[in-house]
Amino acid sequence: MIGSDTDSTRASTITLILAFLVASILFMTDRGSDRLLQRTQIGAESTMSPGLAILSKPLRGAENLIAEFKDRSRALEENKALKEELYRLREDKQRSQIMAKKLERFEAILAADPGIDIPEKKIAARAVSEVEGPFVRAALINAGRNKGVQKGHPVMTVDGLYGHVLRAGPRASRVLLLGDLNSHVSVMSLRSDARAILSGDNSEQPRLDFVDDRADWKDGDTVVTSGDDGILPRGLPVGTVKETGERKFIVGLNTRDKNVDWVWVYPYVPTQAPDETEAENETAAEDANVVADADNAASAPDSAEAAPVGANTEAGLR
Amino acid sequence: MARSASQSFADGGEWKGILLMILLVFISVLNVNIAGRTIGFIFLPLIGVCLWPRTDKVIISIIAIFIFGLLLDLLSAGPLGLWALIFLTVFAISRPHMRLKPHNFSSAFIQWVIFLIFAIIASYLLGWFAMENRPDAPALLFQALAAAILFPLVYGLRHIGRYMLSDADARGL
Repeated sequence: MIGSDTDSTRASTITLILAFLVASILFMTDRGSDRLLQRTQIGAESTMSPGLAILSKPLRGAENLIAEFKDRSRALEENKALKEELYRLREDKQRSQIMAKKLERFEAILAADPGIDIPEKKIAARAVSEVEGPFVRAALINAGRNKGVQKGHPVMTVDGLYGHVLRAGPRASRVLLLGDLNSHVSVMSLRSDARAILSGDNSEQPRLDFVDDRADWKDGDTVVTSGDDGILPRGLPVGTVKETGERKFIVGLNTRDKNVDWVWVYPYVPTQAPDETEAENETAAEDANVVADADNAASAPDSAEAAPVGANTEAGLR
Repeated sequence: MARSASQSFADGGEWKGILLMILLVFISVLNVNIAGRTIGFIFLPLIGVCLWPRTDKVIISIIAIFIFGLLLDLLSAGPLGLWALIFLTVFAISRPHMRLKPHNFSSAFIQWVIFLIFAIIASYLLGWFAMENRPDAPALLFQALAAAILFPLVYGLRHIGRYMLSDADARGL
């Protein structure tokens, strides 16, 4: 009997072999594909997240305390630097307010879409566990579908983009960090609008891929999301470019070396591609209308029902 | 079979192992940022397997270790089955139920270092195979170092736990 004092060597050997077999099968089937037990994983993450949140509190508290000590030790010089920055920012603020007014007026004249698609609503969450291991760079946050988090939503910290939601469970979500091997985000230079793909490689600093020969990337450029992928909104701050070789760039992430405790999720609804079947149905309906209109038009002179045909034609063309 | 008569004192020892593993698995997925570097403790639960109590309920122990391996895979978002395989291999080699004497610190530490080296190599190769990309070796070594530094603490915790959860006769087992 399992667990009894009579666990024989043979029974335990068989159990061990069976356990090995099951683990090997799981390992082989999970390789290079979507997670086999995705539902189990979401369940496990949701169940464990409250416990992890409790355990992470003292750790995050200790981290913040150390950070606070460091800040205090250089409070005076930081205060001086902040004052200088404040004076500079006041001037910038005034300028930006004038620019915003101008822009508003131009948009009103042109009736243009301003294109700022960063949602104003934010979902606050705690990063209860962060895995920056050799295989994955991911985090677990304690907000899930119960708070409106969905797969693909961008996750931010106060410093910038942290990652995006990979799986949303009922009460917790798994976030794929920018440095993860599977993370590929469409980005651009704030200075030159040059485009590239920010590809994670499980290192501290992801690289810029697909850099066009003519693209104007320079050391120190600020990197933001371009929104070209239609998944993340445009303009989310990512980091700063570092040139490592000829046309080779890596990005120092804004969130790197920071204690990540609170994050927020943007419930961003990406640009939806038209449904293919819907589009096909619409085209078919339009074609049918055109054919019907043509038939009606041909029979119109000798038909008493000429009036509705005109209406149909209008509807078909509309 | 080399099982001593005093083996029956170890009854229920697997629960101490399970409690320790729950704690270690939870801590292993909590990263700490120290001096601007994020340090993880993914190898920490391996200490729990190395220090698994000498119990005669081997089947429960195997099932528990297998489940903890899978749990660690799920929580660390790594390849499913990787840690289960490593834990089971370590358990199969160390065979705590066949141990005649309790570990002292030095023997436990030496055994732990050997299993840690094995786990580093195994996780690197299996991770490479599963992810079809080389794992980050420095991150792997850093995590191993972090777990090695914490070994005395976990050993001490287990020692205290043994005194708190065992009766006087069972101590030292």
